[in-house]
Amino acid sequence: MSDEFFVGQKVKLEPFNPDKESSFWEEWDRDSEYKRLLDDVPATMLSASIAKEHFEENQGDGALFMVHTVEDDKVIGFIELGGFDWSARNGWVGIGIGDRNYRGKGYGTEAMQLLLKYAFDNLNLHRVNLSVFSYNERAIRSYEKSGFRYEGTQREVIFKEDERWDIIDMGILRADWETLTKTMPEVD
Amino acid sequence: MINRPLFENGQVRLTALDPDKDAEILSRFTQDPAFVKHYFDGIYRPYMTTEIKKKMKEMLKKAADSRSYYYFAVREKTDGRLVGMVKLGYLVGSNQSTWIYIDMIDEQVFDAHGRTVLKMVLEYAFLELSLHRVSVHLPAYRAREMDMYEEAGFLRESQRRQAVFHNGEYYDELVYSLLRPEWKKMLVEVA
Repeated sequence: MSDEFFVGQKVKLEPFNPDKESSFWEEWDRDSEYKRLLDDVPATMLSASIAKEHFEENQGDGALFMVHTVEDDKVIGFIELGGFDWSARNGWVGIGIGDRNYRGKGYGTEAMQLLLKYAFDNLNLHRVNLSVFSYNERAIRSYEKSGFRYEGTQREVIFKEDERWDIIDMGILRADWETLTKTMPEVD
Repeated sequence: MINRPLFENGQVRLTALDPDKDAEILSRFTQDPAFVKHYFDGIYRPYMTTEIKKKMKEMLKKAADSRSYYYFAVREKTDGRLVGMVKLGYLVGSNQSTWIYIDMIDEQVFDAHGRTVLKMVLEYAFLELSLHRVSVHLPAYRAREMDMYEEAGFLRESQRRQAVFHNGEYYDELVYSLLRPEWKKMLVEVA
């Protein structure tokens, strides 16, 4: 079955249903730490109904998945691959584990590994890009585990808490991913 | 110096973009993959004048609403000819950071006016928008532009491996930036 593809040990990736699941955005938005880890724009809040409209009008061709636990099918976050460059065959990945209880326990890392399999095995990408804030050390470790390599530091991009913070650029090439998956147990 | 002329320098002016009048020349700019990447989300292909008009109008409306994008047409002072485009984009006011995009119509125009345009863009970014950081990304095959930004004091910060595909080959994409204190120091050294 093709749907088995998006299922790992701890998490599975499912399509997003704006009618039923927009409320997750409203809920996660209340957590300002989450907002600061996720985005460099000022933390704001969207009601579920406005979030729904936003997704319906602006989603474009990004591949947006909701991250569910395998154990009890609970929605804990999202992961998205978008911003595609179809001639260079790359895209940008963004991930947010909105549910605090599931951070730092390998759920996000596994969601990323499932997404990379999709990016390389299905979309036939050459490369996946991401940017992460220097204060998000947990995420940086997770991305390294999934095979992303450090590619540079954008200095003093973010100004929050009266301090300037860097953005770390990371990327994974198909070759990096193939090397890693040969030496790692299959995620599914 | 509140009377500083921000929008003219040497032989060129920064002016408003006029989608109806400028679309025909801008369709020629779409031969440059970098220009297409800066202004259109889609693939590298020729864009029709009608598509360009529509896109430019949407873009200008979004710019006026969001204050996160600024656009200028670069024109020759003598005859008003459109020779380049300037964009400041993804500007986040609270972070005082922006990306800049300078596209000149050809290499001759780039050699003649590129540095003057960059000087104006930096003055606009640091003295009018009062930003802290200006960033630019460049494919590694654009040596002329790399030289220009490096001369202006930009520092190479990031090398995204094989992120660009051009004429049959992968190239790295480079990220450069100039921070406000570095820009001020350059001004003193030049003076």
